[in-house]
Amino acid sequence: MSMIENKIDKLIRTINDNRNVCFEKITGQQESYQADISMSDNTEICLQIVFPEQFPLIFPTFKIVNPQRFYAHVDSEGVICLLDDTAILKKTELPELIAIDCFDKAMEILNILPGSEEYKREIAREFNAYWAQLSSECIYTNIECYSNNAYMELQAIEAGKYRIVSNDLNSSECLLQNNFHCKADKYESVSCIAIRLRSFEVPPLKKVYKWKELRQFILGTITSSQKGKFKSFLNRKMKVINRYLILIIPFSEGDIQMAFHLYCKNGNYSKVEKMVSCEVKPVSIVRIDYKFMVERGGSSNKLSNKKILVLGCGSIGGYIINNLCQSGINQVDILDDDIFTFENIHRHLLGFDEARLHKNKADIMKEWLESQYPYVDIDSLNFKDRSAEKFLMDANRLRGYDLIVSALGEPTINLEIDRILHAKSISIPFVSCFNEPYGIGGHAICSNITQNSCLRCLYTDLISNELVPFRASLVKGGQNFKRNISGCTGAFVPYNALDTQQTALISTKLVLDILCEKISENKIISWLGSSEELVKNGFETAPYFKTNSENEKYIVEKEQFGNRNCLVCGRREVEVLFKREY
Amino acid sequence: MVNLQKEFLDFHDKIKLEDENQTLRDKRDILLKKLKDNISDQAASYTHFNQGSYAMGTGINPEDGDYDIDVGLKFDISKDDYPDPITVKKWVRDALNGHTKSVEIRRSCVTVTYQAEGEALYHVDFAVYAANNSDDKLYIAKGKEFSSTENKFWDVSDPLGLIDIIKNKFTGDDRMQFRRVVRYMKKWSSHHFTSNGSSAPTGIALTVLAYDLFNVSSVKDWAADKTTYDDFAALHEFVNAVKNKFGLIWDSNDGCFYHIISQELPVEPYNNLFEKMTNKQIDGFYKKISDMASKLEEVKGKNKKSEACKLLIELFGTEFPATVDKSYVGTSESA
Repeated sequence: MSMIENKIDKLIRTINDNRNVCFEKITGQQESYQADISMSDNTEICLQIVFPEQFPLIFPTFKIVNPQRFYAHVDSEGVICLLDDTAILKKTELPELIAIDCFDKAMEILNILPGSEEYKREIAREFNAYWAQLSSECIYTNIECYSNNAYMELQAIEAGKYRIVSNDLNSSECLLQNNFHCKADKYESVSCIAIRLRSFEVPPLKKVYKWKELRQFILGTITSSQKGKFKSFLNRKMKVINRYLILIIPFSEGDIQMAFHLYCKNGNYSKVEKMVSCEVKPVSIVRIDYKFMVERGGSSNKLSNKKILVLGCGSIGGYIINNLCQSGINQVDILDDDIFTFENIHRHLLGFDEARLHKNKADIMKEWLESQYPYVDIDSLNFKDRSAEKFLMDANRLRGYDLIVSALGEPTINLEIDRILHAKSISIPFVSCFNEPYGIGGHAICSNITQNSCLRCLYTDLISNELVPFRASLVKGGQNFKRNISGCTGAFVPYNALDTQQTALISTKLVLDILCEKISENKIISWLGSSEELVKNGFETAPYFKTNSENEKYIVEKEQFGNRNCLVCGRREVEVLFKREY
Repeated sequence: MVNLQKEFLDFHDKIKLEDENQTLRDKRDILLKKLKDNISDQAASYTHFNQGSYAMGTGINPEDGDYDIDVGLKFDISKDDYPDPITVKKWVRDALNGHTKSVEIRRSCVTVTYQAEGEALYHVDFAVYAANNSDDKLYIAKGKEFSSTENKFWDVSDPLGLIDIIKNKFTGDDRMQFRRVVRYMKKWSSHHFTSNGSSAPTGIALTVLAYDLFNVSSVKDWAADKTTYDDFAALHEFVNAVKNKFGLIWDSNDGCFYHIISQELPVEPYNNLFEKMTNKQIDGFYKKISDMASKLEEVKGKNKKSEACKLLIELFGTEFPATVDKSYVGTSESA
């Protein structure tokens, strides 16, 4: 211990010598030092440094003793938030330099002048953390679709410890039931006013406010039309006031929300404005609105109105649908006629809990996704006959989507979709995807983006119009990979969860790129894994695998795969023995 | 339209005369040895070379089992020193006489018919050339033993030049398709014309037509990173081209119109390779090639291999394989 102390004493001496300050050990406290420091605004503060045991892996803590004002990046205990530790690589072999850099950073933060642009920016960035520290209450907000000078009267509904504020009661109730898994018990117990301020302005941050002080702050930062509405609220006569007041503060990096709980109980009716004894307390806000959560997850909220049809909700389909919802797509229709069973769980997104229910895959995915992602709207297309073949008998069912994904792994049906889309001139992008056996790879193919090629081109022989197995296959044609250990219905092709996720990943990326108009050509994206297992099991690879893996290409993209013999996009006349008219 | 490439390649494997057919080489070598051992002391020195379809890689197995080998003998003489070319042909005939079934001086060669006990029939045609001429050209000895003088002469000839241009028009796999198509044509010809007489176009006529009119038919396969050949399309296109080369003339002797064709040998003496056929015979060739073209068009319209093969068997005989159709193909896809 004495060694550490000696070392720390040496570090403190370095700071003192280099920065012309005078930190002294605080008696009775280990590794804690204190000094009076002159600031640039001629004030003086008392600053403490505490070296943690794990220094230099952990930075020393800097703390202002009895701060006389609010500082950006300083919490209610006076502790300065120096840097986000996780975003830097510390040169731990230079502890003296670390100590000096930390001191300089602390001084830089403390010298941010109140009212300056920098101060506002730093406050805004850390706002939620400060506000949460001051608050003893918390509400969830789902406020969307408001104008720049919004003044909204909203309702908060409660269930147990949850209070949710939304633009409409119905969506709050949905959130409570579907996502918080509890039933609303107090519908209109707390009403709520939300006002978006005219510009970036933050009231002084503290634990208790005077009603008059807050009122005046608000009146000074809103537009005249908002003022009219707010004043009419202030002029209302009430006996009891129990309300949340949400201020939406415009900020360049996205609006900030803060809330107050107003509470006052009088013997007589009196104007809200006159309620001198009204308690005003900070309420922290947890934003659960779609836009905020999607953007926080790194996605774009522009995809919210896109509607996708996914055929097949097996291992690949399950991951794709989940990926789509995570990426911000809210409307997905799922077609699948299978039951989700225990044998599926080690390569499906869903697990044992869901398999226990012994329900249809599409239904179970709907329940699961709607519980995970509050704003998604999944239709599990629960027709009597959920087979893809039956579904396709009405071509109109393919209309009305922004994109169609087939994760059926059934080329016959994929080609039928391709045929219908062309025959009926339905110009909806079509993505079909599938795995190949033993982890050798997988493919995602987008077609119907341009008309110079189509899916059938990839299944058409080069010198005739004969139907052939997928021409970009990674395995040699004519091999049977189905394994059967539990009867015909249990036959499966060997590949694992990682293979499936890899295929789902390239497929989802392709879907998102199409929806964001980053893709203007039909293309195949293939991922190539190892051929080791495949070969070990006595099977052979195809030239497409050999050539690309020899060239160390593991993600291969191919455009312009049009085939002049194709009967679908080539529009050749053929003898149609079994004519289908949809 | 079905993919018949595998069927065509299997067919080709059955009909082609191997470039390196050991039996034929052995037969040829036996005769060359006999020639060497027995040739008269009066005869000039000579060297030999392979010629004909065997040398051009376009040979097919004969339908009647009568194998044909063409050998050129270049004698170190000047044609001017031997006004009668039969003198030179006799050196060859006399050296081989008695050692084989029959030796006969024919118009353009000395033909040796050879049949070992219980074996197929072979004949070797020895073409006799004067190689040491003032103009550095080769001359072939023409005429039979008892032909009239005007039918016995030395004719300028360039057998090696012909082999060279035929062999080198295409390279690599393209050349292989060229050779296959020539073989398909020869097989078709032997299947549709009687072997006797001049009603059939000669092998060299068909070969030179292909030299002139054949185009490679192939597609680059990006997935397999190779070139996929389409022999059916190449053959179909070639047959149409041959058909279109015909023109109509009025034959005053027969009092009717005939479709006729001519094709010049691309080397000296640049003769018309159909010159020995009558207009009527050439017209017969036209009718047969037209039938072939329509049958190939019919094949193109078929969606079932079995039906396509049935038509091709009519064209080429039963060596063309019959195939059974399947209504599905295996897949490695799953999700």
